[in-house]
Amino acid sequence: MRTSFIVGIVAMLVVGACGGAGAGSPAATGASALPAPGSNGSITFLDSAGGANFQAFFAKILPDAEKELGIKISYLPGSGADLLTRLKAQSAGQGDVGLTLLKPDVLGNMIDAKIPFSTLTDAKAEIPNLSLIDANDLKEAFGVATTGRATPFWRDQFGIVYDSAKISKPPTSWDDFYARRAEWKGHIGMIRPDAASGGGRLMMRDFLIGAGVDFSKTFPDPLQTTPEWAAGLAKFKEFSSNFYQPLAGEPNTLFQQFKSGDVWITEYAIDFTLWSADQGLLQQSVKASVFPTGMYGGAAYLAAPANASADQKKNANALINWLISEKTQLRMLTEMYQYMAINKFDAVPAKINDRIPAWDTVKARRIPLGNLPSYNWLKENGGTYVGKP
Amino acid sequence: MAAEQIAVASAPVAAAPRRGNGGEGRALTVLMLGPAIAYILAFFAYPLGVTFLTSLETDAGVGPTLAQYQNILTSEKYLGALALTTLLAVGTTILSVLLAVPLALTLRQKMRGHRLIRLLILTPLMVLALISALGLLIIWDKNGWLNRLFSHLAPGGGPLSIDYTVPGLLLFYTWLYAPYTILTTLSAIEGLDTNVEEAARVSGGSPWQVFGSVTFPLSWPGIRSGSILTFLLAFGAFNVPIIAGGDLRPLAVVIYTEASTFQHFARGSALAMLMAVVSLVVITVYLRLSSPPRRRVRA
Amino acid sequence: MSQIALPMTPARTRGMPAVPHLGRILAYTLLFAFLLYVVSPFIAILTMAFGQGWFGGRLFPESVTLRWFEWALNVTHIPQVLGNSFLIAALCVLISLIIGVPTAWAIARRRIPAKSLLLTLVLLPKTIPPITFALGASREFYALGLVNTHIGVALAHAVLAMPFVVLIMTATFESLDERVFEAGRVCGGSWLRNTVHLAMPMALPGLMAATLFALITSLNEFTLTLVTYGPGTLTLTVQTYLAIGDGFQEVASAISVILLLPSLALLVLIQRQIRPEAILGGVKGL
Repeated sequence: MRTSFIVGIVAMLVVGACGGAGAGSPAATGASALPAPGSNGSITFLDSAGGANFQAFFAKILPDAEKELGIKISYLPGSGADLLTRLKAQSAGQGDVGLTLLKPDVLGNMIDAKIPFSTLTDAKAEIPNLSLIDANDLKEAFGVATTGRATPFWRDQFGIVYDSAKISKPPTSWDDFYARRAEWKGHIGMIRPDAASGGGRLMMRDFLIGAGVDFSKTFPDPLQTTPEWAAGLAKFKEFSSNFYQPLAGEPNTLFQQFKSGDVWITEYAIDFTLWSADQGLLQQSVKASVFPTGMYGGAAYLAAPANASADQKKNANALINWLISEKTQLRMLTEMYQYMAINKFDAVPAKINDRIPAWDTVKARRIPLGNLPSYNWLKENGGTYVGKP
Repeated sequence: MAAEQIAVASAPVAAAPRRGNGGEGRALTVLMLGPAIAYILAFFAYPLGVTFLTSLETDAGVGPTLAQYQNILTSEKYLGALALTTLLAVGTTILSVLLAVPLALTLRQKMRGHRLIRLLILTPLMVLALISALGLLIIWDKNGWLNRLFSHLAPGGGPLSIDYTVPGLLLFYTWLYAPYTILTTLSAIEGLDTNVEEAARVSGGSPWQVFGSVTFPLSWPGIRSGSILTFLLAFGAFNVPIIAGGDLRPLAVVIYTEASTFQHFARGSALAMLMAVVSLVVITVYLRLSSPPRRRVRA
Repeated sequence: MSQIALPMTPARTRGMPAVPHLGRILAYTLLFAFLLYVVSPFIAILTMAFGQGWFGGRLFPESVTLRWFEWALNVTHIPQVLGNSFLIAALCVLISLIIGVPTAWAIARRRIPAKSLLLTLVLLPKTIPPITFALGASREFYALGLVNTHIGVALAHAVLAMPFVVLIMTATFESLDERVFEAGRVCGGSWLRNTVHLAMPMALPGLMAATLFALITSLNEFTLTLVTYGPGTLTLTVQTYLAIGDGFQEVASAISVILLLPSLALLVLIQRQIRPEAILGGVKGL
């Protein structure tokens, strides 16, 4: 009896050791039939912004980077909050992550927490493709001064996402949406404002902008005292009484509600939604549009922790350069429906605009995340303005 | 009653004399406890200390102060979350025990398929809680399979509203955490010396008397240890309420929101300290109230 | 006691109050309902893992597919990641047992001041969400150079697994029949020999349960893994949580099914060797 128990544990150890030994060398992405590690060293690339869609994308493209750059890339998916904890715990030269991909709020939190990042703009010789990026995008990210320490990798756009099989005549603006809210009573979805994902509070912000709130004013004073603020919130309360409730706690729940047909229309990232439909994860009839008053337009940022080992820091610049190269960026646009971070559009195929709004249209309607105090206020207090159904 | 007397007389539990008085006995005791104490000190005491110190800061990071605790203990929102968490945990524990005991008594009979059932009981432990939560959400949805089944069996009863409700959460928590209680209960009940129950029955006890005076008290220590596990896990449940709880947000969800989403580390730490204190108090009370009486076996 | 000729009741009705036929039907119905309750989410998970297009309140998905499994294998390097999960889990179990079993023995059978305080201390790690002590844990693990090592992640997991082991083994040791030890002493074995050869077999069911819980705890742990992992120690749980991202239940379900299979296989394997009543039930007393 005891023998078999021991046998069981040993069997597990053996299985684990075989598997673990295989993973003992950093897990190369995609092609495990790669030749010996690159001659230029290695780097760990931690992605806390991409979901399964981008994990699949990186699994495809990073082997090409390894071949071209001659470095071994260990791709690791991660979570922003836990990454922050880890980077806080590292000291100089000890860091095990050479490059990170971050969502803007996480980047902001990290800069606030004084996590040191390499200044990329000082390394223009090693990252010539930085010239393709808008200079402003390198200076600050959504109200936080990055001063050259981070570069956008993609620009994402939120839009109204709806099931065209259930909604043949979608709303064309927030006013239109509000006026016709009863048509879709109980089928409008939103994520809770206090969720880890920002989708819900961004939708709320965009609605308020559509209702006339001017987020260029500082918060709380004078923005919170303006009549538009109070009127906008009251309008939102009425609007949200038509939402499917209870609000989704996380994006998973919202998407399950969409899949099951409880939710017909919501605001979310266009790239993710269209890509999901292509993959069969959402109804094929899903469509996206961007309202004229503007909707959230964000980005994901590449930043290299300065506490990483010297080898990783050297390779970080090379990898960043490769990632923001025109070739990689075009691949991202055409395969992932994600807008590029670079401003070079000559090679963009025209047919992409059949699926997603043209960049020029979107550029005019993008409203990046600024005014962080108001965003944080929406995070903590937005829930109290959701009307009862 | 004869049954009770027999139970007491043959309870092996009561008979372990405590060793470890003499010098070498004490050294051995220390040797046995040493690794655990060293390990807890090394890998948990420091992190816990960091958390505790963080809880003494204000939102801006200055301290030490009890401001966070004052805030929490006077806030309806946090006390409400605490009450909800305790309600769900206690409810789950009770349901788990109510489920475990009859199940153990039934499985004890080793009818056909009992091995399969034993394996099936373990399956909730084998899947990640996040996926189980999604599975439960889908199954118990208003249009989900189970509601459709019910409307066939009891037409006109209306779809049961399970998702996002307290009864729903109790149902889901029980699904996830009852296996712990079931396992130890099964272990305890099947480990009983059936001769004792035989003797009680032969002495004239009715089946319920036999159960109440012999089976249950003798297996209680096992049931109890499993139920403590269930309680702890239910108290700290996170994945299920975040997916399927809707507006019901117990402490683990609140702490996650405060610490990760709002970056209020001090408040999250203070809430965590409160959570630890409350659950330990509940467990201590539970242990005290439910201690089996200890009597020595007369030789 | 066994020499007394007691009227032998048939095995079937031993241990259960005699119930009339109707009661038996009720019992079976309840059992069936219970099984349905336990099994139904799995069917949903399997359906999500093997189906595509489960939209719009349909009863079943539009089509059966293996896409999600292909995805899981291509994107998440299943063999390595699965291996990591099990290796770390095995190490965690070993650590928890090595630390927890002597502790439980001491608490159960030796004279200790403030026994309940000690038990409370041991349970402490399970009373707060791991995120709240993750920062301290991370700092410590970096300082000790334990990040991105299998043993490091296992040590972090053991913080959460050990309380289970101690709790269960304490109860198990407390319920050991003292008469067996008395007999052993009378027969003249050394203390150590008696303890190991007599106690361990009797405690085996509890040991199996404790091992199982420690294993499950490690396989399911997410937060503590996130602050101690690295490229070489990515676990299946972390991979699943991150794959689910914004809403890929299908891929995450496929990964869960992949994790489920070896666990079940291991259980079936162990169960074949040992009577299931011994794992999931007690050893008969003397």
